[in-house]
Amino acid sequence: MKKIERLLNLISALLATERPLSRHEIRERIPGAYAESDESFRRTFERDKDELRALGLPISLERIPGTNPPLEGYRIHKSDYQADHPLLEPEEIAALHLASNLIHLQGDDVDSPFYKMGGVLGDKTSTLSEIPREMLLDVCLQALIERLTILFTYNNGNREVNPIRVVFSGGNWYLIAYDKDRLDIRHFRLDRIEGEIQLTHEKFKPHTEVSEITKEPPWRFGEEEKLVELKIDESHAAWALEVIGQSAIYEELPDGSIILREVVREWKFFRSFVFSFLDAAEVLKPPESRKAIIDWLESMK
Amino acid sequence: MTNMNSSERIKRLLSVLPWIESQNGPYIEEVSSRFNYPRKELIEDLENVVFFVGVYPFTPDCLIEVSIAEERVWVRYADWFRQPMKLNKRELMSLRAAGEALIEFTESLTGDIEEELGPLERALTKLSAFEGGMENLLEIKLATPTKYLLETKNSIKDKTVIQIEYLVGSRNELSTRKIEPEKIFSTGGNWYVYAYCKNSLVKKTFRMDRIKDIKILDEGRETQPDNASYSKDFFNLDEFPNAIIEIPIRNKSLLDGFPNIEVEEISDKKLRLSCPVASEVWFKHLLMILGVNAEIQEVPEGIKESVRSETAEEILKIYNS
Repeated sequence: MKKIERLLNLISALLATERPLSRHEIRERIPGAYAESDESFRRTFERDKDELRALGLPISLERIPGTNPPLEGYRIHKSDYQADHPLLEPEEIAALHLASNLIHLQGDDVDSPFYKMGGVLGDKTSTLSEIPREMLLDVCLQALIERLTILFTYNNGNREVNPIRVVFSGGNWYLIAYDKDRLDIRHFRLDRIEGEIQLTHEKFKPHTEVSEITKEPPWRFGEEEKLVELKIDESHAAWALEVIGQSAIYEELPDGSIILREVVREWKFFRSFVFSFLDAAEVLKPPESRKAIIDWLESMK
Repeated sequence: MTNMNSSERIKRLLSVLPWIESQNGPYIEEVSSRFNYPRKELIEDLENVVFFVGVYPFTPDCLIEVSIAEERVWVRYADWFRQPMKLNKRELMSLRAAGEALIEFTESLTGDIEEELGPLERALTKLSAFEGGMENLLEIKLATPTKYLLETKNSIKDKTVIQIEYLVGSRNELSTRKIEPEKIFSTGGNWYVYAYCKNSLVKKTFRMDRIKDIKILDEGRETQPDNASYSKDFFNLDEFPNAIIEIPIRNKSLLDGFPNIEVEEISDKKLRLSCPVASEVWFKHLLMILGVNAEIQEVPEGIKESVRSETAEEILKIYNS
């Protein structure tokens, strides 16, 4: 029997049964599918089961009623398997399909959910935005779906957090989460999480409070706080204001240059911003920030 | 799609069978196109695989019946396959995130929801209600639309030629160009337009936030859009000379905002950067950001080895005056 035929028969047997089936019952119910030898049957069966689970088939392992000593068996409950999503009109499905193509999360098979909705018709459109995939994205989403507390290292410190939401903004992925040690909501950039994320077995209750990721410049997120004054020449003023956006606080001088007042919590990102203007920007205050720029430049002379 | 493996075929068939059963003998052609199932494989799988699928004791009434006649197909007695598989949480998340991002983007672009988004809104409302009105846990925010995004989008739709005032980053100068926009896209928090440039006679990518003014011209297009798919090649990075720089791994976060630099870990302490240098100004800016711990291994032709110290001295002048 071909593998695909064997797997389809296995799914049929598990879906059609009214009670869990032991491994040996399964072999009897799909004659010709598995080898006679117990060992090779067991191996093939285990592989099949893994493959079907990887495809998303909800195979459950349960005690077979009336067995003594108790035996365990497998089945797929129809209620776990059968589609229950709301009925969508063809034009609604087409609109969702278009959106999924326009805004495509790298590595996602766009069409796969649509097959479950009766397939897709229509041409492929080109992508409006290809959302890059971040290595830790999947484990964050898993933690969100299963509501599991996670552990990781960030800024050299250990964090224990309950995920609230995952957001892609300004070209980066963020995890918004409740930090259990700091007793507050924090934003973490996924690409700055050091090493792996560890899933715990601890379940949490969903948080109702959500704090928005704002499109703020990166130096506004951090621990220490400083108010820095930066003078920017007229030639670059418009560009600088566009980078910072509506939240910019500045004073315009008669010659068209501006003095920008920025709250800086992560100095290295602000320093990079300052150097994007080369000699068209000068840090005025506070003295220690001005000195930091001078020292940095002196070291390269 | 060709050469589907057995997992992919099973996944597809679990959707194909309920759909065929729910229709009154659909055409093979339609099944094949809806489910992106190559016709030959589809017929082969229906006739030679599904035909032998059933449940114990595999008497005729316990086997799926497939009949194909005059280009149409019928499936019967597949009771346990009457419904497709559930949409999982992850799929629902992605669907909602893409739909919501598109609506938010269009709203911010035009100030109101375009009529054509009606079906999308309705679909999202249904999916949200299905999840008990719970907010989606995955959110995608596209780059903030820039001033001329809508005009550019319309130029693509209406196939017009536009004249732009474009700020050339490397020279910090405005230049006037005539372009034929083909495609807009966002990446790394910025919007770009891929267009044929009538001044330089090639197709290139422009950053939307550097467009300072737009005029729609009354002239016909010279080029057709190509079917090139989105890729890094859009930036034509190959045509720029390369610089090689090594930096300590702990300084990796300084590379934020330089998506085009290729990074290679050469030891557990060092990263090697391969940087396409579009202009000397850009290169100076990069060197100032990376600081003294960056080791410059190779500079592109035409740029002096001493570029870093000279730039640092130039900037220091404003602090010493």
